[in-house]
Amino acid sequence: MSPILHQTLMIAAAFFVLGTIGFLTRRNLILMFLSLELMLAGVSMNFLAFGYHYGILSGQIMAILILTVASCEAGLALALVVTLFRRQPTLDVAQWSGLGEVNSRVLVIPSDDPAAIQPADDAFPDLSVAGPLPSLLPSPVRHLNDSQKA
Amino acid sequence: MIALPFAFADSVHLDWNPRYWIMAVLIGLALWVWRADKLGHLSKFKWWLGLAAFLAAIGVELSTGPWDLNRLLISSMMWVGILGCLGFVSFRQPIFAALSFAVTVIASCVIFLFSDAPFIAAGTMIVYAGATIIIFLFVLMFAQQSKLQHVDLTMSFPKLSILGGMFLLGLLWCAIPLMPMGPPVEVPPSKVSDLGRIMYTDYLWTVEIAGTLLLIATLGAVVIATDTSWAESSPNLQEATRGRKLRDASKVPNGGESR
Repeated sequence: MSPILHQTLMIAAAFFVLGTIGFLTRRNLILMFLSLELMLAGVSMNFLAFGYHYGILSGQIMAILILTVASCEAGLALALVVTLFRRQPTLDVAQWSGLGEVNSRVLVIPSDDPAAIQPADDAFPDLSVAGPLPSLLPSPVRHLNDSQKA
Repeated sequence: MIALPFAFADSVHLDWNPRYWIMAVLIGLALWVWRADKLGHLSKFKWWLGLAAFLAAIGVELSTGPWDLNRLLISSMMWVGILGCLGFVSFRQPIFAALSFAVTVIASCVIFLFSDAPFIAAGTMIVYAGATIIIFLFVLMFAQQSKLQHVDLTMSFPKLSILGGMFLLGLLWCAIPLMPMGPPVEVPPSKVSDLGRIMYTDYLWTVEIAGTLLLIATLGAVVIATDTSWAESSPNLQEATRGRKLRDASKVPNGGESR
């Protein structure tokens, strides 16, 4: 492996891991998205390093694509952050942790055998009503009357 | 669980290079110290302690290997970039964190030049440091006051994240030399015209789809950010604007335009 490739891959790995740490530890919404940008920068550097190693331009094309997608993601993410900020004047991601369903069921994991994960008694999710109720049209299937049942 | 990667060490012939693990530990230590809240008597030395750990990591990296100009230049940019990343994760003030990210982007652009990608270096500088970070700074200025808030003072799962991250970094650094790959291909330095030609011949679909994606994202961002139809029923906005009359341009002379 050439020294330039080796060093560049090490730098890209460091950027990716430090971006991951920033994403996991930060609670500020904007800085979480910046951490994602840092991870993407590491990936872009990886593509460029391999493209230079093999003498092809595909790595640079991928870097352009990553740049484009990162810009789209940043624009949309910040628009969402602005909208969320108007709802509640805070950038704390923990404020939005209450969007989960209430009374959600949890898996029952027996303590003596952690590998045997069993679903709860009622495995169907408790979903809230969304949208209009469907029209109750008569079913085309004929149902047996009580006299016709054996 | 901890022994699991070591169990496969013989089968994959992983070279447990201690130099990389020491570098990862020192970087993690610098991050930990710079971000720590309760150091007791050491809290007034925490910047110096973190800096010492960071410089020790640089010393370990430069302790072996060739000392040619290429390597020294790339190493210097590597450590400038990592310092920017550490500052990005450590700084409590979000503006400082965003500016540290800009330093990292500048360092990565110099490394792109070593990978024979001048167009990508210029494009990254213009788009990332010039546009994306500016957008982030504007939204930060809009949403964040100058005083530090609780959201920036605390971290979620700091110890677990730093330990897990540094373990992953050490593994990646040890695994990079083991990747099977062919010898480097010697080609003449690429020109930007070659990149432009290949973009519009072999990768035309990629360019067109990327452009369409940009257009859709622009429209989506404008629609999302300017949709205030729910604001009339928002209790927070009503509470914030109670007793304050919003300026109406129709009642101001000259339609509100200033001369």
